[in-house]
Amino acid sequence: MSLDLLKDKGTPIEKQKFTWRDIVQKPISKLNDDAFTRIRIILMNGIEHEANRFSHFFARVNKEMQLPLAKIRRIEQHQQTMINWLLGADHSPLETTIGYEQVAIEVTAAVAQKEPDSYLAQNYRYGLLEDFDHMYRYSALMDRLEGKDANNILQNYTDVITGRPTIIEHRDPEDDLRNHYDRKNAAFITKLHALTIMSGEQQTHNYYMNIGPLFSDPIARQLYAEIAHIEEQHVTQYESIIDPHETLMEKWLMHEATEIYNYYSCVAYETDPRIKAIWERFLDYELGQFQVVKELFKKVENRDPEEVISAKLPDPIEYKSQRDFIRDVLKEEVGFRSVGKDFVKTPEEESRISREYRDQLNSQGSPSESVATGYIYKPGTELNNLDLVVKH
Amino acid sequence: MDTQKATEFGMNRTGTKYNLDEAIKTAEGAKKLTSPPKGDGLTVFCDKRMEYIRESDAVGTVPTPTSLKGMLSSLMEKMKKGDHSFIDKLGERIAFERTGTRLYEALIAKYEGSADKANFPDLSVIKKFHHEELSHFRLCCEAMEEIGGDPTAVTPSADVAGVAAAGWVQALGDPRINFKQSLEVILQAELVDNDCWDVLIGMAEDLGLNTLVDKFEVAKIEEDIHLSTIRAWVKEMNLAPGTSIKSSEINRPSQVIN
Repeated sequence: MSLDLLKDKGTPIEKQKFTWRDIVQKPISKLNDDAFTRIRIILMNGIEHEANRFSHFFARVNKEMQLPLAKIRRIEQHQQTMINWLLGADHSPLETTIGYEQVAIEVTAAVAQKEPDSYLAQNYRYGLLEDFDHMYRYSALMDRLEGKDANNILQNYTDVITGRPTIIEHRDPEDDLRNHYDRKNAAFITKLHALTIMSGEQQTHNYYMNIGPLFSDPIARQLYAEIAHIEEQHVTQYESIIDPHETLMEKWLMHEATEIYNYYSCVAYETDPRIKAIWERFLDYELGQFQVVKELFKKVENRDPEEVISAKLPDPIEYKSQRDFIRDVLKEEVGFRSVGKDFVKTPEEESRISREYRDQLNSQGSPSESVATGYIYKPGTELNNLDLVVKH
Repeated sequence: MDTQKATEFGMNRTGTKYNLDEAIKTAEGAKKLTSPPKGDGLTVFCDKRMEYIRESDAVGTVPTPTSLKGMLSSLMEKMKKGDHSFIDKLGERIAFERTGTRLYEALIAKYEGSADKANFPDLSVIKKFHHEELSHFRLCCEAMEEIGGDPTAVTPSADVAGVAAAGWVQALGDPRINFKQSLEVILQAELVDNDCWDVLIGMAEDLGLNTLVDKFEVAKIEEDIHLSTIRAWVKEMNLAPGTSIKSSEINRPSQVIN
C-alpha cells in the first residue's frame, strides 16, 4: 500500500459520520487478541487525544481558525472515543497500565531504530530505558497487589527487568529539556516520530493522573504519583524536541500527517480483521481531514505544504517485539544521564541540581523501590513454585 | 465469539505455553538481568501499608438520627455510648439490597439476551427474586425511618459494601459475560447477603427490636431460598449441562431450607 498525501483524497469530512452505536463497539478480547492490537489501540487513543488538545489550544489563540478546527476536532473526538472504548472492561486499571508501558517500550524502540537524527535517536533510547523500568515496577505492583502476572498482558513480547531505576529518573527541569529538530531541514520521518512519541507519553501521563487516585492501596497511590511525575518529565523532554518555531498552521498540518502515518502503520500490521477495518476507515478519514488542512495552510501561509511534509509516507512503524534491541540498549546505556540538553555516559557526571532535586523528593522514601523490593519477575507470579517446563 | 461458548478452546494468548520459546527468554532474562532493590518485599509492603493505616481517617461517620421519637430505649442507650452499629449495618443492607435489585435486572437482561435458553432455569423465579430484593430494600428503608435514621444516607458499612460489590456490578454489566457466568456472580452476592441478614437480625434481637426482627426473619427466609436456589442452579449448569431445574422443584421453602 503506498499513499500520496497530496493526491489521495480519502473520505470527505462531510461524509465522516458516526452514531453512538457505531462509536461504542464490541471491545477486544483481553485473552485472545494479540498484545500488539492493544498497543495500537492505546497509542492511537493518545494520538487522537493530542490532536484534540492541540486543536483546542490553537482555537484559543486564533479566532479565524476556530470553526474549521472545531469541525475537524469533533470528528477526531468520535474517532478517539471509538478507539479508546475498544479496551474491554475486564482490564483492571493496572492491567491497562501494563499495556501503556508496553506501548512506550515497543513503539519507542521501533522509532529509535528508524530515527535518522542520531541525537534524537539517543533521546528515544534514553526515555525507553526509563519506561522499561516502569514496566518492572508496575509488574511488581500487579503481582503483589492483585496477584496477577504482567505477562498475561505482555504475551511474551516484552521483558520485565529493571531499567534505569525509577528512583534516579527524577531530575531538575533544566536537565529535561532537549535540542529541537530544525523544521527547515529535519526529515519528514523525524517530525512524525517526535509527534508520535510525545503524544503517546502525554496520554500515559493523562492516564496515570486519572487512575492513580482510583487505587485504594497507599503503595499503588504512591507509585502512580511517582511514575506520573516521570511521564510529565517525558512529555517535557519530547515536546522540547519539536521545533517551537513551527507556525500553528504548520503544526496542524503535521498533526494530520502524523495521524495518517500512524493509521497507515496500524493498517500494515493489524491482525484482527474487525480492528483493521477501523484503522482503514480512519486512515481514509485522516486523508480527508488532511486535504482540508492542506488547503487552509496554502491559503493562510501562502506556501507549499511540501515545505513541511512529504507526499510519500515513510515505512510504517514496526509493530513487533524489540526485545533484543532493548537488551542491547540496556547493557550499553543504562548508566547514561542527561545534563542540560546533552547526555553523559556515567552517573558520576550528572548535574548537582538534579541530584539535589532528587534527594529532596526521595527523602521520605521511594515508592518505586518499596514496591519492587526483592522482586524478580517469574511467569505465573512470584508466588508460583513451578519453573517453565520445556516439552517437545 | 459466542458468549455462550465461552468455555470452548481457542486462541488464548495469555499463558507462557502460548509461545514457550519467547516465554523462556522472558523468564531467564528476568532471572539474569534484574537488579532488584535489596530487602524483603513482603516486609516492606506491610510496613508501608501500616504507615498509612496508622494515620488514616475512617471512610466516614454514621449519620446522626434526625428524630429520637419512637426510638427504643435500648437503642438510645447504645447510641448514647457512641455505638451506632445498628444504624450503620441497617444502612449497609439498604445499599446492598438496592444494588442487589439492580444486579438481578442485569441478570434478567442476560437471560433475555441469550440465544439458547434450553438449559436455563425458570425466568419467573429470577423475576420473583428480583422483586424480593426490591422489597427487602424497601423494608430496610422503612426500618431506618422507624428508628429515626436517614435511609438515603450512605453509612460507612454501606460504603465499604459498595466498594466490595463494584466487581459484581462490572461483571453483570459486561455483555461478554454470559448468563451462567453472571449467575455465578449472583451466587457470590447472595452468599454475602445471606450472612449479613443473620448479623442484622442478631443485632436487632439484642436491641429488643422485636417487630423488626419478625419482619427481618421473613426477609431472611426469602434470602435462604435465593441462596439455595441459585446455588443449585449454578451446580446444575456446571455439572449436568442439559438439565434445567424447574421452579416447581425449588420454590418451596420447606424443601430448600434445611
